[in-house]
Amino acid sequence: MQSSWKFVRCTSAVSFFCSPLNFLAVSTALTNINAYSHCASSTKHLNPPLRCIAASLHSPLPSSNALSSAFPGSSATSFLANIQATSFFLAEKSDTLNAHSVLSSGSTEIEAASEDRKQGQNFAEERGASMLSVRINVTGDIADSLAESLMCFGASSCSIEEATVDEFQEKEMFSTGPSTWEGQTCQLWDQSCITVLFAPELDVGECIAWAVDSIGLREMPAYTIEEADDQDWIQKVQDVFRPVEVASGLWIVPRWCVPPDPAAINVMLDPGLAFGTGDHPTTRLCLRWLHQNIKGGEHILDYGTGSGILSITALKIGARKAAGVDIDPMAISSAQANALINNLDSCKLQVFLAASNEDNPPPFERFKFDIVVANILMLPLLQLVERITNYAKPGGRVAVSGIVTDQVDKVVASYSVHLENVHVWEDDGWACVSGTRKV
Amino acid sequence: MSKGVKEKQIGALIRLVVNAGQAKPAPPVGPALGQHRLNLMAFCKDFNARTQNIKPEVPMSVTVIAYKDNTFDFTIKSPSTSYFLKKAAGIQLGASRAAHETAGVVTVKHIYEIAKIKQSDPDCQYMSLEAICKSIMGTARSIGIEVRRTLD
Repeated sequence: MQSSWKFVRCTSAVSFFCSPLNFLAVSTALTNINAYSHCASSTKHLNPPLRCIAASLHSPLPSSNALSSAFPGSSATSFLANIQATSFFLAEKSDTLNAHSVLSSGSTEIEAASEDRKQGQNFAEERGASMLSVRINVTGDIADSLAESLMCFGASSCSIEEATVDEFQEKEMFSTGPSTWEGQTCQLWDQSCITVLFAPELDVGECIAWAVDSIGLREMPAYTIEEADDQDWIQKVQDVFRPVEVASGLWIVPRWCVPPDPAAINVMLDPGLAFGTGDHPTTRLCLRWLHQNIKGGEHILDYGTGSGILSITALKIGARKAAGVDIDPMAISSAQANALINNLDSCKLQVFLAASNEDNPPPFERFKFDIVVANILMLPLLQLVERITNYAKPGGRVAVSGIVTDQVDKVVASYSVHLENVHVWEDDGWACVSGTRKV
Repeated sequence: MSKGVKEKQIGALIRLVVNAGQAKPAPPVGPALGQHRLNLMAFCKDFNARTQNIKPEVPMSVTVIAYKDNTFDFTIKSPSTSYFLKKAAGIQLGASRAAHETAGVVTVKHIYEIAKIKQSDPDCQYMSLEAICKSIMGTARSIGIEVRRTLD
């Protein structure tokens, strides 16, 4: 999707300054996120081969050779002092929402019909080649420069760790590292091991040779190449997921766990690699809002359904029917599978695959739903404000989330046109904006 | 979140490139961060939310510090200078023989604009604009992009 280029005269220098400052706020924002420590659980869930998901979701490697040119290769005269270099960098409202689209091809409608469980778990087609993982042992002082250099020469990612785990000699040395995080200098270990991931089609030896050469190392460090096992990291991602109590009497439980409180409302979930496990602040905000606003018998729309967590929880709390929309086919299968795990058939939850651009909206009538909830991101929320609010019936309740507190003002301004009684809820730096559709 | 008396122990330092607004639990993010048992969903959601004001598909350099307790911090940096230069010149690839052939042309105005973006990068904050411009011109030379005063 090409966005329209705005050519601004160089005299409006002030506006140029505003944009980089915006970016400054973004780029220096640090987050502290509490993940969950890995509990040594012996119950490994029996999951279908999830490695095929990773292959089908392989997004294009953003190497320096594969960048799509932003400027049309037109005549040089169009570049006279009118160019605003920041225009191709900072997003403008006219951009289409490409944020999550990987595989969606046009608008297709997939209803959660009476498919059996196996179908629901069939996430993707054939499995592609997996990435190559290279482990290089170097000394700490050059590890960071080598990592940076490898990134320039085509590596997907570099991860520097301690080469030998020796409990007695592990020490934190504060060296003059390359950059500082939150006031503390970063320390690198004496013997570091860099784990580099490459896309399958790259010539690993060549990339490493160039990188080593560019930082001035005289001899090639020892390294080993192996195929990265997709199953390995996918398994680790799954292990992070544990039961969580989002509101009193309401638990989100991984499918392979036993509910800690059998008497509570337990939503069993197997998200695969779709968004929505219950532990993110935005999911919590939306779930609590649903908990407060569902009285029984409502028809719910979950825009950006991910694993289906919001719709399924809503149905379990007492809603009558739910519809889910997402642009990611992975989310569609995940939501369907999770509905079945919770004994909800296709009458209760229907899921639709939407196109990632604004054409061909899902086939709902306007003014139909009692409750509309959308936990996505700021850009799609702003672009879809009319569509999202129009799906709610007059007097229906709407909640949107997936925004950080800095983004609240824009969202409130945009949604206040269509909603009244607008309220903002916040949790840990994230926010949820709710309101009632104007009559 | 209080760090307590002892500083958190760093488990790993991870660098990767992710397109703005497009982090997903799939390669390259998945294997790179999943290996260290980091909460991928939290990272993806956070990164996407914080890059909402940047055009989608602009590759951002991200540096993640993974602590031994599976928590993490990350910083997002602007894309590389060569990315900006190639965009400004309207080309996809740099020259294969940089000193001998020219792959594209940019004006000093482009250099100035790129320097302004780079100035907000944490690494360049102490450099003067002139120094940043010189460094960008050096990069331009190394990938075979010519710098002219104006395009005629």
